[in-house]
Amino acid sequence: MRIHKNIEILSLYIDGRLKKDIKDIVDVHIKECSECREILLRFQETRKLLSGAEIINPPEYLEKEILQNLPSTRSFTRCVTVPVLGTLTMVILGFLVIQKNIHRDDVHLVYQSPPEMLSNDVVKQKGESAGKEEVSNITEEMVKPAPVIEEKPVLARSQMDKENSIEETGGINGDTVKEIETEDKNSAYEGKKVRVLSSVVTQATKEKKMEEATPSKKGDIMPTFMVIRDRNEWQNIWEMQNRAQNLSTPVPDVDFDTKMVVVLPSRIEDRAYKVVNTVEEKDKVIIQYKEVPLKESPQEPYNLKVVNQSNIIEIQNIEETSK
Amino acid sequence: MGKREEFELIVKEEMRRVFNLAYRLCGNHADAGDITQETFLRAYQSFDRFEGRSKVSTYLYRITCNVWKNKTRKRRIQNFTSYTFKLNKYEMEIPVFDDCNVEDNIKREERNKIVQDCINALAPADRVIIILRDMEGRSYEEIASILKCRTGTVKSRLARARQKLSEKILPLQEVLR
Repeated sequence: MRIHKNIEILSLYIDGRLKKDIKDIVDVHIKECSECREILLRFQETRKLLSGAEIINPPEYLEKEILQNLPSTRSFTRCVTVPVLGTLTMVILGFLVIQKNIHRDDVHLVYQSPPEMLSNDVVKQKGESAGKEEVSNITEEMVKPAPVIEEKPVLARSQMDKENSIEETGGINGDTVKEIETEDKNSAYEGKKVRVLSSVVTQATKEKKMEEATPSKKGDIMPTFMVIRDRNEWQNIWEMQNRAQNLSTPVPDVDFDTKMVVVLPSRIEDRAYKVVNTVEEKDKVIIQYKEVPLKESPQEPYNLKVVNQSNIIEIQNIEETSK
Repeated sequence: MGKREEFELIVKEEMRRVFNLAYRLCGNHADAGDITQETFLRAYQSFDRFEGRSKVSTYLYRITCNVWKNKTRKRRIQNFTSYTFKLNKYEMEIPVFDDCNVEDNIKREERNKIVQDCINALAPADRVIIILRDMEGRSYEEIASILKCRTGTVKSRLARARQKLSEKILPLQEVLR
């Protein structure tokens, strides 16, 4: 091993990192070699200068700044947990909404026969005598059965949404009579009470009603009706009626200050209905209908009846009543 | 004790050393402050992965050296030629002298500055190794751990750095006395 001017050996020598046998050799060499002694002295001087350098005090506020800038554990936890919990919540909510919609759709398929196609029949008012009014039914000229209905009626949907507010109050001819209270200002009901015969489905009776609706089983399915109390809705339904039959007859004028229009579906799945009579009493309107063969079903999807304003509307199946 | 509380103690105990190392490496208070802050921030972020096999100070020194290297590299790329002197709160600090002997204090300040200038004149690889050994008193093994290199490399680099530094510093020895 070369020792002379070997800076690595000399560097290790001043650090005391040499093995004893090598150190002894270096000791002997330094005594004899002035050049190596000089290098060694320079190294020692340099090291002395460096080790004697003053310690620099950090600024006082540095510690505070460092601690302030450290990310808080809470925010770190939040970074991880919040997105996870948020995603889970969204998944659960989404699942619940889908489940709810599936149930709703089942019921609607059975009970709602939403109108998409309408007839060109014109509502005629007969005998506008005081307080009592008869209107001809549009269904008289029905020729073809209405096409399959896919869209749900807005009002029926609204009615379904309010099913929690339904109170059972009694029955007529074996059918359940309900009173509906709705706070929906846009609804035709507008906070008024309406009596419905078996036309509103509560959660508790869904399964039973679905069974009844099966075509293979006999039984009466009361069609859901709608009440139109303002001109806009009336215009909408009339336009739908026209569109269904490629017609453009003008919207019949109805005085919604004193009148309203009761809308009854002409078809629900494989059943057809026809309004045969309207009975208007003091504070009640009874719409009487009967089930007709599909071939005789009205062409338009709705039976429309203009009647006096009333808070109570009853729908009766005339055949059931006569039994 | 929670993670944060434990780390706050480490900051209190080690900040002075980290700041000194940063100051020796970069040569000014402003950058030393920045490096110290970033060092502790990074250390905190990866504190869960610190297994305690090495000393906390070794762990912090390693981060300090990496932060400094990155900073130096960025500066060299970005504005090496148009470096403007940063005047901020660190530079505006007025040195506080321990005693009333103004002449001694000025001499000391001057000596420190000369030593630091000589260190700054070294190549970064030499600079870091001589600071860690001769100023911070770290062992060869610790230096190897901090710089992630072999002990043999530390030995040879240290000898070379000492040689270069002694060539720069010794002509000024008269001033330093």
